[in-house]
Amino acid sequence: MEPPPSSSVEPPLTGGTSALPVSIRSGGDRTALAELFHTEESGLLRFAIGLVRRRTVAEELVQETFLRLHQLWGEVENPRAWLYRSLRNLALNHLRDHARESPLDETTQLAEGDHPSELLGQMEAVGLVRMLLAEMSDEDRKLIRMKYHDDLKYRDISQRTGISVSNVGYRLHHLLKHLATMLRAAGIEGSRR
Amino acid sequence: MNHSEETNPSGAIPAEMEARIVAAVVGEASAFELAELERLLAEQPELRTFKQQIEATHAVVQHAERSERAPMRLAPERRAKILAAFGVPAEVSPDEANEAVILKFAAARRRRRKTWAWTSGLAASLTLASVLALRVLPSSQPMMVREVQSAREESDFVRAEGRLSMEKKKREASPLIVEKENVEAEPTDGPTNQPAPPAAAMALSSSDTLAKPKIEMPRQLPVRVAEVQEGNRRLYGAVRIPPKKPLLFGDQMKRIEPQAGGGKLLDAVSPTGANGESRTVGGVVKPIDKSWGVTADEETIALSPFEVSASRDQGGYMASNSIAGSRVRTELKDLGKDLDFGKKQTFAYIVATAAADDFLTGGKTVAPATPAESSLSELKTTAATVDEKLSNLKADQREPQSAAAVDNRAEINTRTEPVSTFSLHVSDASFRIAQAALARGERPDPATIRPEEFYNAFDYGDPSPAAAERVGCRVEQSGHPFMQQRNLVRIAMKVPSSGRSATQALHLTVLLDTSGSMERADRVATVHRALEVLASLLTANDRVTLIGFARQPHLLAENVAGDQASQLVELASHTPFEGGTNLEEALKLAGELAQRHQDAAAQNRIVFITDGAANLGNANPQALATTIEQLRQQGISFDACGVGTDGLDDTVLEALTRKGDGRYTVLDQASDADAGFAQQLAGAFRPAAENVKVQVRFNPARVGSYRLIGFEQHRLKEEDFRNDKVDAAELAADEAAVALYQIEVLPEGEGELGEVFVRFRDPATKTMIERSWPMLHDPQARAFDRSTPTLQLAGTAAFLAEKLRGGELANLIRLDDLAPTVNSLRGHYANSARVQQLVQMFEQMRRQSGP
Repeated sequence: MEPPPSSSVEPPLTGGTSALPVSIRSGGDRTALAELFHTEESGLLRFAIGLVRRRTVAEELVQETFLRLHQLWGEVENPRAWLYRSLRNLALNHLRDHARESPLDETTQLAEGDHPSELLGQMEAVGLVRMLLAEMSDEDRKLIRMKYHDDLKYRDISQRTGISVSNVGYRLHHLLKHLATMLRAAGIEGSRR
Repeated sequence: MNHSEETNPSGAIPAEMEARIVAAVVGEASAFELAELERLLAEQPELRTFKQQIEATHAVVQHAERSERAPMRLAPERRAKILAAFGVPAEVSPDEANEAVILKFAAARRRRRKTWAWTSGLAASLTLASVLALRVLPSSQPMMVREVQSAREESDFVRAEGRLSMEKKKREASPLIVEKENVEAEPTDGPTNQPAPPAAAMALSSSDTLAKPKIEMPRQLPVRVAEVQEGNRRLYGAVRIPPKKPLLFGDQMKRIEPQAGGGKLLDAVSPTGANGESRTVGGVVKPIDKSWGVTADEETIALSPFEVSASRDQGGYMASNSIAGSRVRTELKDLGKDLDFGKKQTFAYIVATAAADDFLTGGKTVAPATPAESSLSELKTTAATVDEKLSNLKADQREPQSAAAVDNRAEINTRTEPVSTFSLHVSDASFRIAQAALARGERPDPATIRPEEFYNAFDYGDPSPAAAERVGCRVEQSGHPFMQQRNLVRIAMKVPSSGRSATQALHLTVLLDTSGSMERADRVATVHRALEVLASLLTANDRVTLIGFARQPHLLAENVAGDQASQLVELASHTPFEGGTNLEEALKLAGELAQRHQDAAAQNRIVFITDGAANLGNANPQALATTIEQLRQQGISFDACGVGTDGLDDTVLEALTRKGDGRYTVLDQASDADAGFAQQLAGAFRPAAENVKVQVRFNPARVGSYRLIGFEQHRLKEEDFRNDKVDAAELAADEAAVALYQIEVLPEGEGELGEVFVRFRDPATKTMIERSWPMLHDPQARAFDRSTPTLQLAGTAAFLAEKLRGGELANLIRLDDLAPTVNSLRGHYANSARVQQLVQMFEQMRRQSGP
């Protein structure tokens, strides 16, 4: 589902309703969009819940994000990264605009145990990492994927990619460090540890 | 992408050092390198900080890269809208639309399920509370139980009370909370318990929405319900139905989602619930269940041309193609059937809460405000009622037991309380009593149901450990058949067959009830048989003293050698029966005699044989317990053997033996006094492990919550595990004991489930022995009906117990769904009389109560 090459479009930073243009596109595009929707729906929804902490709002935001992507389809260079980035922006906007409306039960709810907020933080962190991963270069993403998804050792990665073992280590080190820095910048300490 | 180091997170750490730490975190370092690193980390705190950051990131990346087991989905309308906007090809859209409807429907169902689950929890506690309140008044026995366990349960009560009011507060506070709870469930639960708000809001639709189509279907649909999920075992409850077979949902449901209990599907065809009546609204027949606090209107999701009715997750789905299009509906089960007032109130309250939740948070599709508001006020009044009830109970000081039971039977969050400690008490008395009651066609008293005595009534054939090991442990798990995201874990402990104390002499004082009620022929036969078995177990080294008692205790035989013990049978048969039961006196005499013949090298025990302390005389149970406890401290244990099952004061006997370190057995008929009984008595007489305590430490990173099924009376405090002054149960040679847990495994968690510790005293050396075993995580835990026969047996026994005692699970447990498992048990344990009894009980229960 490589997007068609075109100029990159910055994700929208402000809210606003989308007017659905019923544009006729090629079947391939539709399939790609639908496929993207199916693969990313869950991850995005979790991310949004982690950010805004309310499912209704989260769903609204995810829907909005997809509808916007549809409008901009063909202009977005990296749709997956764009989705995460846009969703995050929308969520942050929402939080900013609704800062006063934060659920009144927040404190009582959390008083019982840190479980929910921790998990929500986890959801947010995972979403953020997904966003950052989507924004990485293909090579870097591939490295991370081999390490974490395929669970390969440095040596195996080296064999498959032709990069030397020490270089694999070096690059993963910088990738992880980068992610750690970004997570901290977003105010997330990371996992439940 | 740029990896520029915006800010060096940890000051000036050499890049080479960082690379080493990263390598260690991602598992690339050798043991030597790790050791070296460990040393450096100890010296340099900034390295530790860096390592923590990398570890945290590592964990998050792992999550991000791992495929999700339970993907989350948007609400169906949203999906439909998005896909429509995408202009997804026409051949896909009916499916999508269908799927949307199902999702909507499933969401409502899930909501019902959730509501139901915690309603029944609360309802159960309330019922239990009121039942116990009633029971406590007329008799003094529960008083004793209470006092016996006073301190601990009192505190439990306060805690439980606090928890209840906390929950209540939560519900009262705001509907938003319900949403929060959902969110909380998300990362682990996936979509299964996830009410999608807009869809759920649809559940509110009043009858006028019936007319308004929510989704316009492009054309007449095939009669079919699309499968929602992609090869995931967590179904939304959707089924792909072949066209032209619209009414075959029952079987299909059963096959695909057994826990939904599609067995009752035929009911779905008739729209009338058992207690309900039908009426027609907008051409759609809807059941009205009067027992519900809310009208069925609120339960109907209407879509045209679809009509979806949701209710508790019980029925299944029915489709008919009578209108242009199809109908999909769940069966509205008769929800109110078993509900008492308190439950109904709670129900009304919960449904109202759910409704209010949707109203306030659901956003767009909302019902008119008035009903929701009135529900809110209704729920407040209901909450007030509950509150009042609770405070009444508390004020009367009658309820420590029930409150403790509430506490004991709730799921426990591992984050707040990861450790579960209990005394490994083995008995099957409760099973026997229930079995006898069912055989008589009666429903056993829920107060006598102790699940641990159900699932410990069977020989699971767990392998015996080597004698040197002292104790063996086996852990197995499977999915929970009735609860989503829950697993069952069976922990079996077994003591080796060669108990070292086999040569230890036995000094017995038998206390035989000779009151009038024991004169019944069947009881006489049972007692004789029991004494015969007892005599057959004794050797020349052993000593027996026999006391008969009614109004007065009579010494019948003193310090008879074991090989002469058969005389006792003769002796007992010539003892006249008389009125009255003065247990207090009898126990005093027994204590004196037992002490007189006490031998420090021997096992010293009092065995109490009675048909039920129904008239304990004026005995103060508290005083009895104190006496028994004092005797135990002097090294004399107390066993009880109940004869017959009607009128047996089960609770008191059970409590007394618990105090007395002894066994409690029940003999319903003479034939019971055979192998099992002999083994039990012999076991009690020759313990291979004393003061057996089990502690299970769950790993909160892997297990979200747990519940020990049963053992409510045997729970210990965490710190009591290694406090050897705190008394616990005994295990005999070659005896196995089983504990069954229900746990919530976090699919994205890490590490093993936890660790099992067992601690006991070796009766031969009097030294304490402690062992532990890890409980490994089984990511491919099998479904209950495909798990090992041992786990199926334990689980089935536990479920039947829960069903009989009306616990939290009782309403979730559907006997019909257990039938296949029971059938396979019947075959697998064809030679076990006990298991066949269980199978019969299952069938009796099914006949008595329906599914």
